[in-house]
Amino acid sequence: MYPALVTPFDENGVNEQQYRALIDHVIKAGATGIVPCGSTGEFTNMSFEERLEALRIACEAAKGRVPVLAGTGAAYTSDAVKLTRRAAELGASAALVISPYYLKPSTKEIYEHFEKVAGSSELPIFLYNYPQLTGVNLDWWLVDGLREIDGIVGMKDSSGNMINLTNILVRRPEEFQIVIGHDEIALPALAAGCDGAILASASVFLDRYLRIMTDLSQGDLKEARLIQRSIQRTVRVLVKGGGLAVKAALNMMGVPVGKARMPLMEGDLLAYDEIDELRALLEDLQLIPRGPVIFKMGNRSLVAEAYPKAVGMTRDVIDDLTLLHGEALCGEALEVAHVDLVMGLKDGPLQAAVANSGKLVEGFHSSNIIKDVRPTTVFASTVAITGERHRKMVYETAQKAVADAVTRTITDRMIPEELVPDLIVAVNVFVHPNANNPRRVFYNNFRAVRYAIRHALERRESIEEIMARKESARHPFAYNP
Amino acid sequence: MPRKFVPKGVMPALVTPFTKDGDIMEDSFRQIIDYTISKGATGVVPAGTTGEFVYMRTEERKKLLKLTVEFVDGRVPVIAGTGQNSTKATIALTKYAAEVGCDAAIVVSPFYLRPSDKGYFEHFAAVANQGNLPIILYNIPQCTLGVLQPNVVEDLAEIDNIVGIKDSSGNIGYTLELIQKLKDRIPVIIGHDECFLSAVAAGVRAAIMASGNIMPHLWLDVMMKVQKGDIEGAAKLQLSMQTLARIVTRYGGAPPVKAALKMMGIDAGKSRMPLNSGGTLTPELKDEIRVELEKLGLLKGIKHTPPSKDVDVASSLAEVGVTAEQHGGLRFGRGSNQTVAASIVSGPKNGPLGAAFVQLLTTPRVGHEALSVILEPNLAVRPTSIMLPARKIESLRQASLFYGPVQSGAAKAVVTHLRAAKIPEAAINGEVMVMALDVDLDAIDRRAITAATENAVSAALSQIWR
Repeated sequence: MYPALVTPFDENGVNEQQYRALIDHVIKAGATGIVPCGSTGEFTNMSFEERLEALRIACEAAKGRVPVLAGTGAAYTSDAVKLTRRAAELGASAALVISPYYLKPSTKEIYEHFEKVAGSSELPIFLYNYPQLTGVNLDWWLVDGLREIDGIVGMKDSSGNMINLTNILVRRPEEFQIVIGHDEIALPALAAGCDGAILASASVFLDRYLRIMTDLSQGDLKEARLIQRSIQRTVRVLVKGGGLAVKAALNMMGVPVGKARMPLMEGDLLAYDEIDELRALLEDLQLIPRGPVIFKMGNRSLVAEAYPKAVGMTRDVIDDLTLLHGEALCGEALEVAHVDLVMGLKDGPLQAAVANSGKLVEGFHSSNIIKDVRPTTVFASTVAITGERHRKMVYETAQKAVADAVTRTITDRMIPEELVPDLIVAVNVFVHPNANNPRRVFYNNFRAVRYAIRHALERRESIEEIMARKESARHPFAYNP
Repeated sequence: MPRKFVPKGVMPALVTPFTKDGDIMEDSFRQIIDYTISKGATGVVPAGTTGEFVYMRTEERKKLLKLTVEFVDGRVPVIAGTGQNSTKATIALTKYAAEVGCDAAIVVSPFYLRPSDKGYFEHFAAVANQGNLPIILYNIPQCTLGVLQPNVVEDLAEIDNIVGIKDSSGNIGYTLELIQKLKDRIPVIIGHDECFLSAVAAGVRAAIMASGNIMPHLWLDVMMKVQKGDIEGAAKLQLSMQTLARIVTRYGGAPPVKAALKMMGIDAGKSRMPLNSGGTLTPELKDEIRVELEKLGLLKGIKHTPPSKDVDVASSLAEVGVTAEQHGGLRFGRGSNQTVAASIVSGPKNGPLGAAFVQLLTTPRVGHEALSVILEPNLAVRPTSIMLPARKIESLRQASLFYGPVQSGAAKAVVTHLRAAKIPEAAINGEVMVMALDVDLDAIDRRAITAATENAVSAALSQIWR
């Protein structure tokens, strides 16, 4: 189980200290090898010299502990050759070479590319198939030929295409190593006979993958499935965001690896709600540190002792509980949830929410207090109800989601127990009149409320983020059809 | 031998009007035929993709073809949609179309279980040789998932009875490849509304399109302008129709066309299930169609009311019990231009404005719902701000306009003031703002609204944060 390492950067290039710490982290967690400068390592956003620097650090840091499978691929054959030779000099055990990308070569040219790279150094070569990024798939019949080339010893397949992978697996000679590179199908691919895995998400929960492999080797498919199930949702977010998401996860967990290089940025490929999602999922996996957060109300202060403190996202002191505001959008299509939420002490402006709840005034929307929820929660719809199905979707499905999300915040231990009786939460939900998938309406509203509370408590997004995004923000309704 | 058929001009791919229960509405169908012919349609095409042929059994399609011939009564040619999955069924339906007097048949490439190149050739050749009608090939890979390769079409064009190919792919490179390779053999008929001008400028002389139900005369005008050499005029006209064309091609064809006809006074009925639930044709989309029809002069324009410079957030505050005496400590600002008028108040969270903020958010006046000011979802500005529409929101499109470009423009204005460090740290976290905004909610250009809102809100904020 080799993690595909992210590359920590600073303003000068590769951040050696963070990179070494990350390598220590994964080796301690049980990595049987490491892969620097893969796709997760943002190799295309690094200069030739930076890649050599990263390979040097990785080889030095891993020396005597685990082998290094160096990412040395490039669009230009000559670059791939040079990188592979240098990787050999630096002490890598093998090289992972991506098939040429951007300008799409023919199969003849792909064949000659690998032949040239493999023939130019003593380093064993792993083919690397990632058609989502390269635009060209290494079909099983092409691999039939490529694997005969001297020096090519294996292949990493990140396509996620189990059909092509299965064909490759059944056709290969035993000594040709196949490793799975698509995290979401790690279990089925390993069960189908892959020899190992190179995964972006392995840096985050290496132990779980090791357990899947152990369970499989012992024939315990049931147990392996349980573990896959426990991480699959997290894996989906990590795969979608790639190195960007793995960096976000490691940073939250307290393994600092810095930001991805532009143009990869948080709030974009890894959307804001996905960052919240990732954090909550990592909390559930007990990978987020917990610690005290102080809630101050004038002279009185209370402490949430075990607040989930995703590094870089939280505040140590919440010093004003007059009126906190959080907004969040989660989900997709007609089932999208968009909530506006305010919360605060019951002797403050939130009184107005309680005072007006339950009143029916002609021409005004009504709100109601949700029964049996702590803290006191006022619920309102921002859209006029259009019919019976819509009414149910709002007042049964979405309202239940709001109640569950508020309760979940308490069990998430984000609010000191003594504070609960003094708080009021008011939530406005948007449910599209045409929404018809109650399961998604529930889930999207549950998440949106859970995250809106966090936005309120943690003042997110930050003023810096807001100021930086004035021009690039994408408001979904701001554009002409 | 059947007579030769030369496709030309603009032919609507007729919608099939259905009742809620799925019955064909014959009177409506006749009205649509009469309308399009009165607007210059050079032929009509029943039972095509837009006609929802895929939801009709053979017997119904036969009935529809017969009705069309009867209703058209020789005024223009009838090109029958006779494509089926199996070759045998396609031939049978084509023969039927010939019997009832259709002038040609348009045959979609087989879909779902689809052949490869050789199978496509054999299919079309068999239909052309045995169908007793001139045949138009029909390429629409978005629906069939298979492409008629140009070399297959070239070979098919050698068959006498094949008289054209309709290309609805929207792939201009492909369309031009067909035009180039088929020159002098068979004409290419453009089937993709968005690409009409490009194809006509490249020499195409015929079109079969969904939006031909709505505005055949405008399309004919584009074609005429091109043929007279007035490319500039043609481009201007095409671009004025582009949004509606885009809506039609990208939202299922029939549902938006039926909605448009209904607005124009022809009850074109509903689409059949499963295309009739409002998942494709959402209420917002219907509103967009209405706006476009007005823009094109196909619907009488509604009255546009300019924003009122008198919009006053104080009256919104008064509604939730904030009296003039409580205005101490609050700061007001106003700004307006021809498109947007803004009245904004800022004040401490823990004063009367805080309570008003909560009440406006949780129990708003219907049609005047307050929402957070956000750059985009999950990116709310600070000081925490809500915005509410001064005039009542009557539809989901109006809502999407207010909680779209207006929201975006208001947020940008706040960010400008944050960047200029005009808003003190204490206010960023200690105050809330309420914005009352008036804008013509039936306006068309969202980009212009975003910019105008940013301008008006910025002017108002400048009075608050000097």
